[in-house]
Amino acid sequence: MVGVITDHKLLPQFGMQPKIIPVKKNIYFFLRVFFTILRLYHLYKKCMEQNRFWDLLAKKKSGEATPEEQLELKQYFIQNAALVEVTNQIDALWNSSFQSGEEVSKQQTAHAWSSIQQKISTPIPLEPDTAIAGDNSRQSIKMFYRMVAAAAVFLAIISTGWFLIRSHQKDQQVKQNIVSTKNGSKSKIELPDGTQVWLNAGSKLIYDENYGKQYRKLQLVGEAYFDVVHNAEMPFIVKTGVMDIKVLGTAFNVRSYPDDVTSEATLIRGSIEVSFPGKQVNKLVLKPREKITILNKDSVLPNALASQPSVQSPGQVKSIPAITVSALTYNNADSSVIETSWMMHKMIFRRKDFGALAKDMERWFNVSIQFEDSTLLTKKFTGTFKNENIKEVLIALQLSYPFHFRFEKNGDNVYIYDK
Amino acid sequence: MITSQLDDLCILVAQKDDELAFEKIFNHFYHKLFLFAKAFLKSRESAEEVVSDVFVKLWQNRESLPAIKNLNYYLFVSSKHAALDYLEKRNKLLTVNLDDLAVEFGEISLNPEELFISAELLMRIQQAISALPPKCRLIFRLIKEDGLKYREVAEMLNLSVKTVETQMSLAISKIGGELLAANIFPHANLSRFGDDRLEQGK
Repeated sequence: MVGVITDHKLLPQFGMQPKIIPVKKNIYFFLRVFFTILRLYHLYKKCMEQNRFWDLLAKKKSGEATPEEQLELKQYFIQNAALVEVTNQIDALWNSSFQSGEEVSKQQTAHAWSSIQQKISTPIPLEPDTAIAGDNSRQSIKMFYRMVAAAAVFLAIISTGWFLIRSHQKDQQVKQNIVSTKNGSKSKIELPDGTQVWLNAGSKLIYDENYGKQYRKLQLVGEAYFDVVHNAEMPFIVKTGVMDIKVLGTAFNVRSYPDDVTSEATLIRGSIEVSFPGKQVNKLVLKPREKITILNKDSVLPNALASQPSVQSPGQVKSIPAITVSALTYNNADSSVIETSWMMHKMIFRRKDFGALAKDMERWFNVSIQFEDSTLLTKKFTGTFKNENIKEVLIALQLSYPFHFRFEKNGDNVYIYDK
Repeated sequence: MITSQLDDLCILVAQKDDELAFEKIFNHFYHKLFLFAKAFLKSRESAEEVVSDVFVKLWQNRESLPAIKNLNYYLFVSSKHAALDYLEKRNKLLTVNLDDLAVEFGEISLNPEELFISAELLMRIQQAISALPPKCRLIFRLIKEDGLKYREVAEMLNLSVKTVETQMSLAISKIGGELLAANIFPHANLSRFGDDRLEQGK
C-alpha cells in the first residue's frame, strides 16, 4: 500500500517528462518512418519502372512486343538517354552469336552426320518388303522370310555369276567413278583410302576403281578441299587442266573452274608439289599457308616469270602473271582463311571483279547472271555473305556501287545493268 | 537460314529423298538441339544419341516434313520428349527440375571493339550470363539463340508465359545492368576489377 501511494505522489513529478518526450519522439519517429516509406516507395517505383523497361526491351528483342509496348519503350528512351546507349549495345550483343568454338561444333555436326548417314542412306531393296510383312500375321512373316531368303540366295547366285563373267571379260577395263555437285549445292565424300573431300558447288571429281589399290590419282573440275590420309608409298595426285598436284598427306584447297580466269591451289598444312603438264616450267613446292595462282587460258608464258615465280601480296596484283605464289588471305573479322571459307558456307571476297564474282554467285545460288553493261564487269567488290539469298546479296552490293538488276524466269536468270 | 529456304529443303527431302537437302537441315539444327538435349541429359554421348535418333525418325517420316508448320519448334519438342524418354527408360529421373539443368552457354563470338565496349566489360557480361539461374539461362538460350517464341518455350517447358517473360527480363536486366553501370561509372568498375586482382595476388 505504501508503495502505491508513493508511486502516486511521484507520478506528477516524473510523469510529465515521459509524457512530453514520447510525443516529441513520436513526431520525429513518425516523420522518419514516413520519409523512409516514401523513399522506399520511390526506390520501389524506380525499380519497378526499370524492371518494366527490361521487360519491354526483352520483349522487343525477342520479337514479342506489341505496338503499344514498343511505344512505351520509346518513352523510356526519351526520358533517359543512358538507356539508348545500353540498348544499342544490347542490340549488338543480341545480333552476335553466343556460340563459341564454331569450328568445334562444325566438326561435331559433321561427325554426327556421318553416323546418321549410315542409318538413313543405302536402303537395301528388300528391306521395305520385310517391313510391310511386319504388319501381317506370324505365319505369313515366316513365309515371307523364306521367300525373301530364297530370292536373296537366287539373286546372290545370279549376281556372283554375272560379276565373275563380267570381271573375266573386262579385266583390262577400269571403271570410273564420277562424283559431281550441281550449282547451289556442296558435298562431302570419303575416298576408299579414307581421304576426305569436300566438293564445292558445280564441281566434278573423277577417280577410277584402282584408286587406293595401285595409285591415288584423281581428276578435279571445279573446287574441292582435300584432307589426304598419309601414305608415303602411294602419292596422292590431283589433276586439273593446268596443273598437277602431288602430295603424300596434307590438307589443301584446289579451285579450278574452267570458266574462271585463273586456277589456284592453297596449302593449309603439309607440303605439295605442283607441276604444269605441257608447259616448260619447273615443278614448284608449296609451303604451308602459300597459294599458287595460275592462268587458265593458254596464254604465252613468260619464261623468266615462270622459272622464278614472284612472291607478291594479293593486293598488289594488277595484271595477273601466268603463275604467282602468294600467302593465303585471312578474313579480318574472325581470322578464318578466305580460300576455304566456302566450306563454312561463307562467301568471302576481297576486291574481286564483278565478272568473277558473278561466276561465283552463279555456282553458289544456282542462277544465271548476265551483264548488260560490260563496264560493270571490272567493278571491284569486297564482302562476306553467309545465309543471305541472291537478292539480299545484290542489294548489299548495290550499296558500294549503284547498279540495277532484275530477275527473270522465276528468278533463275539475273540481269545486271548500269542505268 | 530463312524459313522459305528451309521449306524448300523440306520439299526436296519429302519428294525427292534428297539426302543433301536433309544434311543441310541437319547442319542447321543439330548443334542447338544437341546443347538443348545435353542440358537435360548432362552427358555428351547420350545427347548425341538422342538428337541423332530424332533426325533418323525425321528422315523415316520425311513424307510428312512439309506438313510441319514450325520445324524449329517441332524439333525442339521432339528432342525434349526424346531426352525425357531416354531418362525414363534408364529410370534416372521421373521429373525434371528446370533449376537443375546443365545449360551450356558459349562465349560471345564478337570482338569487343564491334560492341564499343572494353574486353573487361565483355567478360563481366559473360560472367553475368553464366551467373544466371539454369532455368533463366535455358529460356534465354532458347529465345535468343534458337529463335523460339515466348509461348513456345512456355508450352515446351510447362511454364506460364508470364514466367518466361520474367526470366527473359531478368537476363536482359543483368546484362543491361552491367552495361549501364559501366557507361555511368566507366572507371569505377575498372578500378574495382583491379583491386580484386591485387587482393588475389596477395
